[in-house]
Amino acid sequence: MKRFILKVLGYLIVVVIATVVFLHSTSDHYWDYHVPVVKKRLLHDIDKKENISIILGSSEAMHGINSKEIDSNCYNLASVSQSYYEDYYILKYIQSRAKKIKSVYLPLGYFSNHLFLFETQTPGEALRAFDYEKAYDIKYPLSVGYFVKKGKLYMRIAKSLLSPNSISDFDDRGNLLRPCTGKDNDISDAQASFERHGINANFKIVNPYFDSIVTICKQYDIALYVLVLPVTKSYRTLTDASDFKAFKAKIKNNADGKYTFLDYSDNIQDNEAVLFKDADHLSPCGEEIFSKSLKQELHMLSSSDSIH
Amino acid sequence: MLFNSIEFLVFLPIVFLLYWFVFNKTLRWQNGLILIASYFFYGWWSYKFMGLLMLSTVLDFVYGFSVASPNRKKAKLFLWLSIINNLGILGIFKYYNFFATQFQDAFGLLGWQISPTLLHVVLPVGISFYTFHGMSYVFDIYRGKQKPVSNFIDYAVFVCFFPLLVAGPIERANHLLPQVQRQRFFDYRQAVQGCKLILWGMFKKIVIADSLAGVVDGTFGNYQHENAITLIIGAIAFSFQIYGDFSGYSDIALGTAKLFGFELLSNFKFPYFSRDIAEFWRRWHISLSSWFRDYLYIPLGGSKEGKAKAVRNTFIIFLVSGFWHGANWTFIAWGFIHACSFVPLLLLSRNRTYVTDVVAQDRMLPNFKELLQMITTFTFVTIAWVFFRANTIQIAFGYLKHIAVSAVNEPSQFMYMPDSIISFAYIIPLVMGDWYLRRSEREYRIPRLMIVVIAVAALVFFLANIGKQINFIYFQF
Repeated sequence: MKRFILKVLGYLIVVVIATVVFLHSTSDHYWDYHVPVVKKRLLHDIDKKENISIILGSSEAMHGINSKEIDSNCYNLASVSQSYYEDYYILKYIQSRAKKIKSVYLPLGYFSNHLFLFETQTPGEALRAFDYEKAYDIKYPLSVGYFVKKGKLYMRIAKSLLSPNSISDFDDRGNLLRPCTGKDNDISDAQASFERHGINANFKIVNPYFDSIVTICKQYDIALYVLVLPVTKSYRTLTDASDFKAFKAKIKNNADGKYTFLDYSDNIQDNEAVLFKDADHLSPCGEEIFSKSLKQELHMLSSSDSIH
Repeated sequence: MLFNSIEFLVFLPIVFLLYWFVFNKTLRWQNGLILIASYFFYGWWSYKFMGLLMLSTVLDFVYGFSVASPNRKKAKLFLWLSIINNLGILGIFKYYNFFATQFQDAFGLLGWQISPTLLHVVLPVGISFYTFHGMSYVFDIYRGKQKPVSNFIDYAVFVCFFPLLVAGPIERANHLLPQVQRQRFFDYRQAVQGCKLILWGMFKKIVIADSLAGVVDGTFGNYQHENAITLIIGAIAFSFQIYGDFSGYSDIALGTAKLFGFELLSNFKFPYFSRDIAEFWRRWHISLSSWFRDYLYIPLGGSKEGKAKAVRNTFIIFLVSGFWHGANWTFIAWGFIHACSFVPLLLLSRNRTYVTDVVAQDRMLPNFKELLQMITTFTFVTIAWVFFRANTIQIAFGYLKHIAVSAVNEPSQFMYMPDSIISFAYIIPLVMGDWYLRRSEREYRIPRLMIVVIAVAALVFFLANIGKQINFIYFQF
């Protein structure tokens, strides 16, 4: 009996320690759903599609634009912290398969368009770069960090098995399925969000891909819209006081017929608490209103062929 | 109390330590503790139905003496009273509403509107199991295979021994009672085996079955909007969910019983490695199928009175077995489908081809023929499970029809894997584990490292799902 109890206790100690180590080592691996992979599935019959429009960009676009409002053949392929680096490869992937891309909507934001996914400060998020590798065959520069993160990826895969049904809900055009309730918003995080993110050293790595996107669009006669999406007033004040203002102006001045530049950063000024999820993301209610107004403006643009 | 609950993780060591360190002096003490623990275990779920359990126990204990009477007429009378009593309890709680609504519908078709009073009570957990325990005891006494037990505590332990109380295995008096009636002494080897069984059972339930439940519920609940490949994976996932759930429960029950010095009947012997349906039924829910074989099929004449009667008897036991699972046409359809597949084997006298050995007994891998046989049997069983899982017959047919229609209309879908493909991350380890264990079924030789891995996985999943305990599927039966 003594031998049995000691054996059980011995195993118990080993199991508890191993469990604690496992849980601790995977605790920072958030995003157990794979938005790029989920959204890629929308493109399963891409080779049959003609005149499609795509929304690229990061979480601002994922939360802010409803592709169904834009046109009947528009897909929202934006994902959290997706930069021009990933946008470029996604566009290339679709261009090589679809019959014709009509328009590309490319947001310009203070934070994520300049972010190199591996360097994100959000715990665990860097691992999603491997989802892009899987979905769009994007190659990231090899480094020690790459392999360390790949190792962590396998840990995340093991942990993600705990909740196999956590894949977030998107409709068949890549829009988040959320009701417009006006609840659960918190727009008081502008300062924190601004400090956490921002133009960083990777700007130089990522930004040339903006030019590559412009080049592809020109080459294949794709209408490119560069959009600055709505943000709260407090967040806008912070970004306007930063390098971003000059960068934005540069992009606007360089348009020169290569793309249409549309600045909606101050588009929503009233009722911020309801229309924004947080300082730099629209809420479902805000998405609805903004998408409709964007559609109207795009319609006006196409009829008058004018540049905003 | 559920096996996969914190309460049980506290309850089991306490009872174990009391049993071997405090109440180990005499048989009476041991049985007394088990009886108290069993009622506590049952009452944790619902103390209101403890009275019903006690009533059922007392009645069968009393009937036991009456059916042992040398006066066969009197014995037969009490045998029937016992049957009526047990089936009456089952009928009221489990089947009354079903029959009432069926009569209502039937009269409605004739133009007569009736409004029967329906019962609004939950089905007492384990009722199908403990009534069958009691019935087997009375039947065995009537047939002279068992003598009435004079000690009520011994009999009560036989009926409500907590590891098997709520979902079996359905024990036989001549197997369990002798163990109840002799004092148990601690056996290191048996206890270690018990722990391994509990661990493997927990893994099957918590890691495999509960994880697959989300995929299965999502697929069956939304089958009209899913494509063929998703529906196929959903059906396969359910096959493994129900297996992981029920065999997991049975393993925990067997393992727990071993910790207290008892050997229960084996309930599952790697059924998805069966090479035909007959073998499947010798490996799936063995205690129930052997119960129906011994107390229904053989008394009806079995297969000894010609092919026609054998076919009739086969249909009867499969239909009754289906109905035993629940008051729904889906279960009857499930039994009917299995009967239809069993009968050809019976008519060709090939229903006993695979009786003793497990597939690839002396080899690492099956040969091509065996593989094909296993896949065919599994495919058939999975199709039948669709009826078992669906809420109505219409849904079951709709589910299968949707697979066919979607596959024909959209063959390109098979080029893309749906999200539910993740189910195989659970199914593959289960199949590999079972394949590895199949040749040492009674030993459960698991390497030490694997024990740690399995235990960590079970603990991690347990912690992840804390607060949302998922019932064992067979609790509803």
